[in-house]
Amino acid sequence: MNDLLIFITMLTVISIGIITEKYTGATEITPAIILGSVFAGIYLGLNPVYIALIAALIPGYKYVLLMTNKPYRASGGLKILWGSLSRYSAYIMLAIGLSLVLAGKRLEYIGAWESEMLYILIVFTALTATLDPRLGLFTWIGDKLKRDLSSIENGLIKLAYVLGLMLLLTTIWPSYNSAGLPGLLPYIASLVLRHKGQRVLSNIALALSMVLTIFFLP
Amino acid sequence: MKITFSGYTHIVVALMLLLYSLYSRSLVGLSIALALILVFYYEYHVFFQTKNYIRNIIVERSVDKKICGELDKVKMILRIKNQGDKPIPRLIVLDTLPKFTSTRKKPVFTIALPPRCEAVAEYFFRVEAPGTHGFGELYMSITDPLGYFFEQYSYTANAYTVALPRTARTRVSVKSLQKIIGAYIAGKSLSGLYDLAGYREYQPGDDPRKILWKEYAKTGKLVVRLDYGESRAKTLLLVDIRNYLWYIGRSPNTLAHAQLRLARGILEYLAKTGSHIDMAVCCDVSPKLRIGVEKDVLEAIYDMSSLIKPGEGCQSPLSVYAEQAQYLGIDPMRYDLVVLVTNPLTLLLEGPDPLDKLLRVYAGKLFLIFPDYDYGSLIGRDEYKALLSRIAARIAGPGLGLEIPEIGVRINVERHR
Repeated sequence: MNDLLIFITMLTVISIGIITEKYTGATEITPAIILGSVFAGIYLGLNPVYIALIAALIPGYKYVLLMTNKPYRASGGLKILWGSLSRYSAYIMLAIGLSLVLAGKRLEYIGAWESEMLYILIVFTALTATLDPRLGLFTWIGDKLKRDLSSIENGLIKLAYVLGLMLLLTTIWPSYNSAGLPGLLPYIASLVLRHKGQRVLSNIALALSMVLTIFFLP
Repeated sequence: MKITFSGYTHIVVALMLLLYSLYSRSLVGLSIALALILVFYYEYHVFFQTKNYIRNIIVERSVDKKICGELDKVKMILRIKNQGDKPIPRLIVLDTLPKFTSTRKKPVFTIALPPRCEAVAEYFFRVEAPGTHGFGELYMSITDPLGYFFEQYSYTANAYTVALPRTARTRVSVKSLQKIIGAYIAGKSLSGLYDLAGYREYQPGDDPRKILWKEYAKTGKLVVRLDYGESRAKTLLLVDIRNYLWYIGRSPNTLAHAQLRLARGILEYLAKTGSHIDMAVCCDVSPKLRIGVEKDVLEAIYDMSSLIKPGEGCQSPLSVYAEQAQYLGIDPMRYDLVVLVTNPLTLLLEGPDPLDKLLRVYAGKLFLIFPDYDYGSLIGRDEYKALLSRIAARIAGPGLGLEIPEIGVRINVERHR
């Protein structure tokens, strides 16, 4: 059977599970369906991208259900969730960076210098996320060294952003392909948002930039 | 710390995806697998931090009605406060309901508690039995935002509501009781006919000479005059509730419900006749006696209800009502009438001795009243008839009699909608 068809069928069943969970409160239904779908997907040799998307539904639907829970929202949960979302996006960036490092061989197939640039860019942006004070890395190092490292941290974040932007611009011009282009706009948006102090939105834009860049990688 | 099924699924799926993406050399799969593992780590990290803040949470409980009627809906208000400086990303509060209360939905609340903030959770519960309904224990589960890990704690926050029994419909008269009060007690006039003290409704057995015919001409109601010095019936009302009665029949029409409704009906009826009433209610080991309850009947009903814990009852034999009078130094013969609200099943289970003791102590004064209930279906119709005959025969000589008044003690209930 066609991979896409299997994927859509799985999504439909999962959606029914989510709706059932929402109205009955039976929290085991959807995870069980997702687990089953992933098992089935691997067994059927489904495209890993589809399996990855199904897997990503576990935290995704939990998050959405929580956001739509009225008592939770009314008690100030939205602000807390918003903060978590920033962390999640930072982790996604970090994961993309790490996966590129782990799967470095993948880049051999690209070969061109722009691709090397992209590689550096992605790892660098992941580093930006890691440097985010919300992740606590610098706070932790600062605590260990008993020093205030916030100024170094801020400087590094700015540097990472500028370098990232330069790399992206280099990638799209005068390139053979425009792999960096889809990621460029969210990247600039992220830069502007961070400048305005909107760290949460900035992180989300950065995550989007990363995802798009990876997706359009030749 | 415990992991939920969602958390378990998350990490299993992430690891499977990691292996599968490495096997199939998928960059997207690998990225998402790593992201999922990192998110899992983050959830664990958040949970590990927040579970230490549970001591900063306090819960206050209150109800909107401290006194309510049986089958009323009462609002429970839970104020959950975070007194610390750290946020609680997700807290699940599960309240436990005492016996004979019900809610439309399970009282479970998922809330977040930012630092120094308070969340208010409210729900309605229905009180399905008369008596004191005490709320105490509730459970709090502290979890990470996505609910992968949890730790449950119990917390005690007390509140109570006292439900008064519904009034049994007394329009259909309690014939024997009327006769006893009218003929044997109200008739004992000690004073002249012209020292007017008040009026009351005519009861069969009253002296017809005391009927105020002018009042009858005006209102169409038979009213008799009460004179100063006229002796008022001194009545002792004994309300007997056993724990097993709560499980005979279905709530809110168990035998215990019926008996308490009947007790309220009898109490109101006796007060209406102008009797002096003492009331004894046994809900644990010994009966609690209230003197002169006719002055404020509603307060007496409240007193009776506050002593009763739904699902529980008197643990002593029926004869405890006789012993109590002896211990308190009350002369049992001071009463003109002793009404025991009980049921044939209790008498059957207790055997004849406790009843005999009561009949000896309250010689010639004891009157038994049973609620109108379908006893036949419980012990068999023939058995029931035989039992009634035995009880009637036993009480015929040393007692005043027994009555199963045709009082509506059953109520129809609409289930939660």
